Amino acid sequence: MTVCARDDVGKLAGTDKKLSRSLDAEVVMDMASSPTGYGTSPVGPLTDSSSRKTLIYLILTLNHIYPDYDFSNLRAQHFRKEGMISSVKTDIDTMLMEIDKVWAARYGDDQPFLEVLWKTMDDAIELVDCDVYSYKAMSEGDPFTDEGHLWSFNYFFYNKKLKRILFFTAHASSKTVGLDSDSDLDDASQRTGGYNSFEESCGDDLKDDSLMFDEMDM
Amino acid sequence: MKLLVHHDLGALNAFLTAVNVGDYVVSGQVESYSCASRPIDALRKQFVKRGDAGESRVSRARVARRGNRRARETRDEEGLTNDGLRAR
Repeated sequence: MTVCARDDVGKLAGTDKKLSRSLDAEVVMDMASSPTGYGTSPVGPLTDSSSRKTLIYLILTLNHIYPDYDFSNLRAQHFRKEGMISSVKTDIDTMLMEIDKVWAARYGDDQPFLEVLWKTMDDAIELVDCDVYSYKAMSEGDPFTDEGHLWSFNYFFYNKKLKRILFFTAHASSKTVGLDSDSDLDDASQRTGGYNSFEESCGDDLKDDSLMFDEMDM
Repeated sequence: MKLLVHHDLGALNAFLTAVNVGDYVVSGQVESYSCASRPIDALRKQFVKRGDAGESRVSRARVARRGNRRARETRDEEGLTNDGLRAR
């Protein structure tokens, strides 16, 4: 398990520096113990301090967004560097196609949701100058593997020039989760008009009892 | 890292809290952070602080000079009165 629940919520801001230092030290130690394989990583060669910084920023961003979880055990291999921003855009657009319809129903067709989304993101981070990374949840206990989880994405748009990161996440969850047991009950209720019949509740025991009642003089 | 307040991103976040699209619900979040070790406003604060410090140093010197002048003036006045007394 790479992600664990955080106990001390709210102390995040003050611990950023400490965490950055300890993460950097850990990565350097990992490199010292097994130097092969660190020449390349999704965030760049970890021998390079700027690549380690990028990794630390990605981890800190996740820690900020999900203060109930601790992502400090994540390493470079848990992230992925995305290629062209256009392909990222296509992926996100595909995932959020249904949202576009809800937006249009609510606010009209004048400015589609995806257009507003990309314009706003561009204003905030200048997408052309960004490196894009993604984090795919793969471990139990992180915020993206809840019951009923259908899909999710976590993209980091990192603008080195502006020294800014824009994090965009979305996840879809089934509306029927947790309703399975209830729906069984509903089915039974529908059959019996809102309550379980005495026969259904007692089953075979009732048949035995009915034999007993037949033998009795009533 | 510092969360950057961006009005339009905030509006998007409000919309993305929970969007019911029929069979499922989509929830999203979009936030921007500054990775700069000293964001511009912190630098500005520091500059203002330094400016205040400079000003206070100047004003302290002024006060000291004023004090010296007053002391000199009183000494002179006293000297005059002493001279007057001696003359009498």
